[in-house]
Amino acid sequence: MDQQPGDVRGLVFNIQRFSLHDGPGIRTTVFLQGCPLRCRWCSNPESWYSQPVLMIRDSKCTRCGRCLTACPAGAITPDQDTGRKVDRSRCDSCLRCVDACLSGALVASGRYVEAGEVMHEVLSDKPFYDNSGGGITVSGGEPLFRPGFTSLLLRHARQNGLHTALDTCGFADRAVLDGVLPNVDLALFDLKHPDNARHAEGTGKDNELIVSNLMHAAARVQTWLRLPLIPGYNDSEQDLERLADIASRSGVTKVSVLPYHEWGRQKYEHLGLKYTLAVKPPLQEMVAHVVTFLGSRGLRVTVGS
Amino acid sequence: MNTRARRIRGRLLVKNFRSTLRGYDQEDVSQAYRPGVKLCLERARLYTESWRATEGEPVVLRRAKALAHILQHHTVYISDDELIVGNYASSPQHLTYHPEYYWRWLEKAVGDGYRHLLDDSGLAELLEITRYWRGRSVQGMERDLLPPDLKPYWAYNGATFWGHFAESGVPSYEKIFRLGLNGMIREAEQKLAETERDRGLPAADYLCRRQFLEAAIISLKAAAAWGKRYAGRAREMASATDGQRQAELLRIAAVCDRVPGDPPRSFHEALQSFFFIHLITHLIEAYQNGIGMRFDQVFFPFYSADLRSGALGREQAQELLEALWLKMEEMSLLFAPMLGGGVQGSSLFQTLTLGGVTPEGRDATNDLTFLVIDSCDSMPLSQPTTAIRIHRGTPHKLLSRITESVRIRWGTLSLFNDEYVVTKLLGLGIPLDDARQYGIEQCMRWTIPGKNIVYRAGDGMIVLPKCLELVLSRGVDKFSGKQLGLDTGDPMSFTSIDQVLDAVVSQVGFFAERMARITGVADALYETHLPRPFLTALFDDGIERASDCRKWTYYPKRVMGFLGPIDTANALAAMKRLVFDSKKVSMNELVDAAKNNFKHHDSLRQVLLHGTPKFGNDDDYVDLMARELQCRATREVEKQRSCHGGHFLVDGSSGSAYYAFTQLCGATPDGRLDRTLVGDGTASPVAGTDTKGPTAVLNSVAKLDPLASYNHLLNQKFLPQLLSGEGAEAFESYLRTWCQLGIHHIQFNLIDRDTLLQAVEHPEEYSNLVVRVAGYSAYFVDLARPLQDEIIRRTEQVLGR
Repeated sequence: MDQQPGDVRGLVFNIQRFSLHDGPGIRTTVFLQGCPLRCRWCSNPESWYSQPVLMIRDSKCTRCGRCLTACPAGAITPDQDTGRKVDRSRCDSCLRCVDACLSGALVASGRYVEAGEVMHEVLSDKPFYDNSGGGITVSGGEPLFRPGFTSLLLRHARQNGLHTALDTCGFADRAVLDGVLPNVDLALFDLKHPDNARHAEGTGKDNELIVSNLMHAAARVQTWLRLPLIPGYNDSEQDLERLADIASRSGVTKVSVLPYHEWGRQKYEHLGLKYTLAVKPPLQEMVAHVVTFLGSRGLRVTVGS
Repeated sequence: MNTRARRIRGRLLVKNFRSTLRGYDQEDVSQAYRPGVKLCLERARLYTESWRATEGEPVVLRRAKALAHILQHHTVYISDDELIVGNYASSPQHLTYHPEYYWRWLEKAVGDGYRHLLDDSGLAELLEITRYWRGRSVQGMERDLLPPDLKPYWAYNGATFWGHFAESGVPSYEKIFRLGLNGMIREAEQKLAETERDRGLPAADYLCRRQFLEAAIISLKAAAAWGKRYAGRAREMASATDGQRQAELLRIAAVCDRVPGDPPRSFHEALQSFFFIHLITHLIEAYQNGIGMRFDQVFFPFYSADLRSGALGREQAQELLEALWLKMEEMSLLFAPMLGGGVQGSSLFQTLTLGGVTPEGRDATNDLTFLVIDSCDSMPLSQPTTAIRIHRGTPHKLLSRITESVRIRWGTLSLFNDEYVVTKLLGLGIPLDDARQYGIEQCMRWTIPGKNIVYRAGDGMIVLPKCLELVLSRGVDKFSGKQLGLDTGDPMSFTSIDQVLDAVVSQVGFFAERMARITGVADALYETHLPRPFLTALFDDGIERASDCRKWTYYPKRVMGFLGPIDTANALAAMKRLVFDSKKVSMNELVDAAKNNFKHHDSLRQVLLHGTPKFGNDDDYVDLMARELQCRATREVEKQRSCHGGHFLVDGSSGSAYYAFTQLCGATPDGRLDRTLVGDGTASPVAGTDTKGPTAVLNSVAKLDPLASYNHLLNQKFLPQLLSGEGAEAFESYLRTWCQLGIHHIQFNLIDRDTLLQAVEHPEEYSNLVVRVAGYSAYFVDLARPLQDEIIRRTEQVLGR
């Protein structure tokens, strides 16, 4: 018997409606938490965690003191500068402080949600998808990290007449990918670097599986290759040449250049992490050069989506 | 904008009203108009002269003779570069005023924030004029005539505001253009002859018709002759100049010789004829508002004929339109301090209705629709505004043009949904082909052009959060200590949210009944003292009916407005959740907290602000509460009957009244503090509480069930960059969906650079400002400063045209 969307729960950290950059038309992007890669430029580091995680936003603290008494582990103590300090080594992520906090200074990223609840919200915007050629995009984190939930969302979306997109880094077993692809209309497939060693350097994982999955997916569903453009990392002509080669061989219908931005930097602080990347966003001229270069290799190229 | 328009615009003095009061409290602005603006007494002087001279005659004839006297003697001027001519005051720097409508507030105001409008001798003359009009001006007469139980509700009291809003009524320009005023004079003369032959007519009816028709003929003749005065002036000026301007003045003379007396033969003549009638009805004969005609439909035959014959090119047509818009901008109204607080920053509400369907239900878009949008886009003016009708079959080309216009001209363009309005009008009993001809006047009020729908823009605003406050205080006003509303019982005895809602609805009914009765008295006074023979004659069947428009009607429209319905729904949802569902807060604590303006209850206030559902996020819990509140409150208003036997409607336009008339509104269980603003519009989420984006907002608004409630006002906020590139296509499909969802209206505020800068300075006030960029969304205040700067810079690029 079919699994019903109400049966399965997934760890969702955002449902973004009116998404215009994750596939065609007006879309709802469902962001699932949990990811096998650790890209140094990642703008959503909260998505690395496979459980709900505490995010601390000091600027929002009203010093009401409710979190101090709520914490059973005694990990929260008063602090002159920020109102209160959280000792993450003593925190066991029970997240009672989040319930106690009224001002949004302590929030949890990631919530276990039933697929039915997600679909209910996604389907609320159906008229917008119908008029714009949009639909659902399942993203992450990495949506293949919990393939059962992703598969369920995509299948039910399609049964309800929605265009479906999968936004993936491609790092998953072939069988997992094959289980999901039948319900995917469009794959948004990331490739961070064409060179195996450099890929591992930037993301913590090799790219062999990813490139092979890219070839496999592009042969079966419409695929857009997404290139996060990181200055000094993957923007040399040599890198671009190799990337163009892979793209051409794979048969992707488009390459999306996603210029690096720093908008996620603050989140590292919220999570108590260090931001280790020290580059500036690429200049417009650089982006234009990349677009022209890839275009000259016979690829369709867009920026930002 | 062409160079001619640029020159005229460079000389224009902005005469928009600046609010001096909020409620009864003085605002920072001490002067109601910019320096240099003056008040012209010419019209008031001429009207008063005539009124004195005609004492004892039937009022309808006195009104006509006063109009004729004004039109014969009022200064006519033609400014440099003008192509469309006509003026309402003695110079472009002047405002004009209507002593037959009011005297009391003006006499007070010229000693205060309006003093700069007059020099010493002007002030002396004004006081002499107002002395004559004491006890004669209509507005304020009702105050002494009201029964004692209504008197406390005549003035602003925190729960209601009743005022003499401007009146509406849209002439039949099709008929004017077909017959010319001369043709209509002949029709009136025939009708008069027929009346004299009708032996069966009771004497009273005979007299009434005869006097009306005589008044109509006097008015129409005076209006037709007004054009000739401009023709004469133009010829005089032409003889004193040469070259291009001489040719232009001779052209103006030829046009004004023809219209409005005879039917226009060209686009230029049609525009000029319209502007003469617009001036006379809006400013000289009556304190008028709106336009309400379907601009692109009425003028298209003239435009296309000129284009076909080669008499006119598209560029020349645009030049004429721009000349007309500049004349509209030159007009402005004298607003009373209290009433003006509800329409801050405005002048007249001259609205051009465009697009929509034809009476046969087909798409009505034509090339003139685009030309009007082009010309308005080229010239940032406050007048006129454009109301574009959208329907299921609105062509892609128009939606895409609108998207572009929204991006570059945010704020002055609003969209109306035929799928909603036509259906709503059918429900009110208006025939299909008339319903499809609806026009928009003022901000967003519907009318049927050419039909006798004469009403004041508002007959009472009811402050819904105040109604809730009164439920929690058994009707006693916390600021005055008086029994202002109903005693709806001890709130501690309520055991469900339904009982709270019932009580709120009872308060609305209590106030609506009072507003309706005050309106009835005013209506009777207007009928007696201010007949409108000129306007009546311009309606399709005005002459045929031979009776003043205040004595009969095509549709008996009377409207009241609600302020703060969304705040109230949020407050009810918060009470439902905390007091009745989760029982985390007792009614006692909540009532006490609101009564004390949340002093010592800050953490409860934080829960109310941040921990309860808010309208605009596609959440049934609060959206359906908002629906029930709005629909049931609407029923209370609809129970009230007006002078023509019709029922009152709720109208969603509220201008800046949500600011002006909430000054006596106490704290409410949504966490709002004493005397703070309520949300704008009747369907807009309270600022900063919609966090799920624009699609969720539309879904929430659709749940208000506008057919069952009323014509809601929706302000939507967008980042400008969302409307360019691929975003433009998405925006277009967003508009199509808005249309399908049956929402009445939408207009846009793009988040501009200034707002973002404010958000940097005062992050606490902008904590929920979401910026969406490159598929990544963030709370603006959460971003580090350099990133904020970067986004501000991007915004600047988009706006920096």
